[in-house]
Order: sequence, then structure tokens, then C-alpha cells
Amino acid sequence: MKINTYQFIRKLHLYIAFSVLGFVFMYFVSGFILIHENWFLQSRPKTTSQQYAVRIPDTTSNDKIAAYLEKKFNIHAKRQRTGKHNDGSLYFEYIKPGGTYAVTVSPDKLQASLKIIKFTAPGIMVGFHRIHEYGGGWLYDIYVLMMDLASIATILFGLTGLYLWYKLMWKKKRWGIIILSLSIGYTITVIAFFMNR
Amino acid sequence: MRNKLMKYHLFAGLLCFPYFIIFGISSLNFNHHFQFMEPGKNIIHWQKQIIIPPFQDEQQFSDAIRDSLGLIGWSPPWEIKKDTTGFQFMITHPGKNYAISVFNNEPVIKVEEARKGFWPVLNSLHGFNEKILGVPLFVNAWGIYSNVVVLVMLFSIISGIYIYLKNKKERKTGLFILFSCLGFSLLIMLLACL
Repeated sequence: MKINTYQFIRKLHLYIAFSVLGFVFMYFVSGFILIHENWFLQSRPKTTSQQYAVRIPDTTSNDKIAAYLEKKFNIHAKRQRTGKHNDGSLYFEYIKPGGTYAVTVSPDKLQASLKIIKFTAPGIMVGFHRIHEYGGGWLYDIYVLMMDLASIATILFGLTGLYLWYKLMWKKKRWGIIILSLSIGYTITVIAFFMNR
Repeated sequence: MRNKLMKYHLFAGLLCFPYFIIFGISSLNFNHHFQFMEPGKNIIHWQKQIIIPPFQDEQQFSDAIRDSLGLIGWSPPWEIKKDTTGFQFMITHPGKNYAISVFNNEPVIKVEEARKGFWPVLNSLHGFNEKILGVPLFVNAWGIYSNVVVLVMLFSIISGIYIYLKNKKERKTGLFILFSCLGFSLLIMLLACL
């Protein structure tokens, strides 16, 4: 069966766009907010802090302690940093788009303080943009997978779009060539500047 | 109307083409940390004799040394170190890192220059919006280009959907894919927030 290349590329461009539109839109808009944080992040996020009695399992494994704390405090977020302070207390930090969690376990492992920071709406958008790397539970991993698909889609938009322009407008190509040459030329010049300066 | 919008949609895509490629590759790198995008180990050492400029604080001192050496970039405050031998700090920009050593009572400054390579530079242009002193205008204009791409992207989304809806044959399939995937995306984002 002969495949019409133009129709194939056109449908690829179209259906990729529709499939990941939500995440591509979110990625660009949240990136814009991130670049211009001082325009948007005027109000402070809401912070709560509380002490709890805990029964840490008898283990030296930070992973097992983290699993206990995640279950106890119902934390569904990506584990970021874990470690030990100089005074022997353990810390576990988590992030998700809506905010962050920080748990500090006392050296005797009988007390834990939980600090929750809930982001405002612009902060949530920035949180959406900053979430990276797999390994935060199934929901988190689906989110990161969608980010990967949106990234691949962005590359494919460019390449399929270039082909579609070539097919549709090659007979009146002057302005297209000027715009493409300027955008690629500018990008290469900036990269070359930083590499050599 | 449709043909005009199609033309502008295509031109908008040509304007944003290199940024789309940079954005896509760098975003994948944030999730996967590709080996080939790590900064290279291309290091050279050099030194230069300069007149140490007067300064009021450490940040001002590092900035003044940078300008005297003819370098560009920022001096992160957390990299500034002072000890009994002298003063060490970093100058960094998307293409290079400089480790600067200033020794007490010596006019010679020692510099360790590390070139990052093509891929780290490309990676750093993702959302690059900083102003660097002493560089040509076109370099600092990259931030403006980034903002223009966001606006053009929004236009492309709206115009693309409009152009598509004018085509009656594929409307049903496309709208089904669009709304179901959009709904799924919003659900995932909402659940990730809660």
C-alpha cells in the first residue's frame, strides 16, 4: 500500500499536537511564569508546621524510614533530598506541583516535625514546570512521562512543520526562507558566541 | 481567512523552529541526564597580571577582577571563598566556567578555564533570560526571543485548532482525540497537585 507522505506527516503533526496539547501548553505557560517570577509570585505560600510522635522502625535504611514517614503522613510526592544533620536528626524532603514537604526526625527517632508548604496558583504552575525525573510513585511517573512526550512532541512539531511548510509554500518560499534563515542563524550565532567567548 | 491563518501559522513555526528543537532536547535532558550533555573536561590554565582594583565587598571584588580580566559571566556568591592564601571564586556563563585564584600581595591572577561544550550551551538556552554585562545586544536578546516564542506558541495553538476545524472530514476524530487527551492531561495535573 502506497503511503502518501504529505498526508502521513500532516496527520502526525495534527494528532501529536492534539494528544499532548495540555502538557505543551502548560510547559510553555509555566516556563513563562518561571522566567518572570517577580511579576507573578507576589504572595507568600502557605506554610504549616507540626510536631508528631512517631514509631520509626528499627532500621538504619533511610529508604525504609522514608517509606514509614510517607505512609504515616500520607505524602504522595517525589522524594528529593535525604540526609543527616550534624545533631543526628534525619531529614527527608519531597516536592510535588502543589508544594513541598520537609520531615525532620529527632535523633532518638521518637519525634518528627512535618513542615508543609502549599504554593499559590502561580507557584503551582512553577511547580508543574520544575518536576523532573522518574521515581516518585505511579502518578508522579505518569506526569513525568507526559512531560517527556510533550518534549518529544515539541521536536516533532518543528520537524514535521518544516516539511509541511516545504510542501505547501515552496512555490512562494521567499519569506519562509528569510524567517527560517534568521531564526536558525540567530540561534547558531548565540551558541557560537558562548562557546568561544 | 483559513489560508491566511495557515500562512501565518507556518511562518510562526519557522520563527520558533530552533527554539522548539532546543526546548525539546533540553527538556528530555532534565528528566534523563544524558551523558553527552554533561559539561566537557576541556580545561586550560592561564594567568594574567592585573592591577587589583579597589573594592568594598567580596562580590564587588570578584566582579571587578572579572572585568579586569576581560571575562563575561556571573560570580555566584556561594562560590566565593577566602582563606589565608587569598581569594577564590567562580565566573560562569552558559559556555564556560572560570575558577579564579587571587593570592595575597601578588598581582598575578591564576585562571582555570573549563569549556562546557556544544550540548551544555544548547541546554542552557532553555529559558535563558539573564542579562550579562559586556556582551553584544543580540546575546541578551535571547530572553526576548524566548518570550516571543511563548506568544507565538499560543497563537500557533489557536490558529492550528481553527485551521483544523475548518476541515470537516477529520473533525470528529480530531476533536475526540483532543478532548479526551486534554481531559486526561488536566486530570493528571490535578491529581499531581493534591
